[in-house]
Amino acid sequence: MTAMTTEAGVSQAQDLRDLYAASYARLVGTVGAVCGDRHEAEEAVQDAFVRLMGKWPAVSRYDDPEAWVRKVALRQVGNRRRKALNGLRAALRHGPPPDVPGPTPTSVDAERALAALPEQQRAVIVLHRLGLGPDAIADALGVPAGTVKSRLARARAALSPMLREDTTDA
Amino acid sequence: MRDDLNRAVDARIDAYRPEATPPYEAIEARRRHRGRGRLAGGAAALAGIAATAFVVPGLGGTGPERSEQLAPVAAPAWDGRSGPLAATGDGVSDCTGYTLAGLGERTFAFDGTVTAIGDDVSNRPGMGQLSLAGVTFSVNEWFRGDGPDSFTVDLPRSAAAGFESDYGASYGIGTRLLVAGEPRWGGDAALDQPIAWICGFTRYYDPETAQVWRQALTDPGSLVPKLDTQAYLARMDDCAEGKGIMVRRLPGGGSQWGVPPGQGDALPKARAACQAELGVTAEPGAPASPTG
Repeated sequence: MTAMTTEAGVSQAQDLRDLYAASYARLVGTVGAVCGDRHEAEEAVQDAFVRLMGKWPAVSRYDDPEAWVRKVALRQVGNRRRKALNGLRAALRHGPPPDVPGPTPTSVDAERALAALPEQQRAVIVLHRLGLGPDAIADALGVPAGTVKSRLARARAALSPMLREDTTDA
Repeated sequence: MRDDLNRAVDARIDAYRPEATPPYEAIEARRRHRGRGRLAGGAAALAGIAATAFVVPGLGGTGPERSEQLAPVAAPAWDGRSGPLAATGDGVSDCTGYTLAGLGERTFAFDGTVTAIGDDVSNRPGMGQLSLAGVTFSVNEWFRGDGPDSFTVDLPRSAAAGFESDYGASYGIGTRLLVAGEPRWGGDAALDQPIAWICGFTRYYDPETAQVWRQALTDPGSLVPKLDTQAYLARMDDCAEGKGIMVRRLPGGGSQWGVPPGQGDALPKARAACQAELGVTAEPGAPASPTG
């Protein structure tokens, strides 16, 4: 009994290593595409794997353990951003807003258009591109499916004129 | 337009994809050193800061320019504190339990007094960034490692130095600590990119613990004969009960351990675990088997 348990444990540990090796770069790419900061993405993904270590016996039985890691990492990024935003709002209360020029539509390309999206809208675009449906995106981001659909529609609407302009320029 | 968007998303994902995956061991190290809990009310508890310890004014960041280097100081007298520097046990989900056997596995250990707090020395780009401070010690005594008189090692940032500390660590210039750790990234060099272990392996200095560390790390065999047999057995009994073993204490001394039928292997496991917690691998009277 003890030997079998040990063997199962070793096998599980190896499975976790395999998942890490196979998915780390992909997850950082995805999370980075959403948050726009590779360092922050690596932090979030590594933290998600740290959390996964303690939950691996359960999560390893999921159909897609990588989706669990992605969800945890994305939510962590979202939480950090909310904290940072709250701090920024507090700072702005003490002075005039900075004079930041807006984007110039004539100069944007598709990538810059994507980067210019609000993070919440960019997240649904990126996850949708990975092949996730509204329900899966909703689960990953912790929002209702209806919210996902509306963000997707708003993102496409926002991107549409910029991408057309980009095409015209090209 | 849809193709443009898909290409843009793919390009963006590729742009943020790292060129290399950090070794899995980096995640394991992150787990060991990352506390998700906090000491209950501990981080802000500055009341115990000794008269010899003080906080560098304005020390709020990690840049080298904010590192304050003071001349080595003589070992201050014991300030009365003792115990772990940072969260342990229930306070940190991923702690390795502090035992003398575990202490013996660390590659360096010393008694030192904080002389400077600055940048971390063990983070590597793209290899997992921990929120650490590089803390320089004037080493009063090397128990293991035989390093220089002034030594810098990464510790959890200190709440007392103005940092937000995930671990509830509280120390400042002048604080005297017992520090045990290892090279964060492994390797043969015992002091390379060193990181201190928390979870009890880095503690406020007190003379009694320092003496135990000295014996455990420099003369481990001396620990076993010094154990009082009755006290040892009583502690083993208490430990075993804590692990679910039924302990029957006999009127004339001694005890009997029992487990339900079919769980016979729980007895040797509990014995080994309790011996590890007590820091010995042999019963008193048996040939001493040094721990570590």
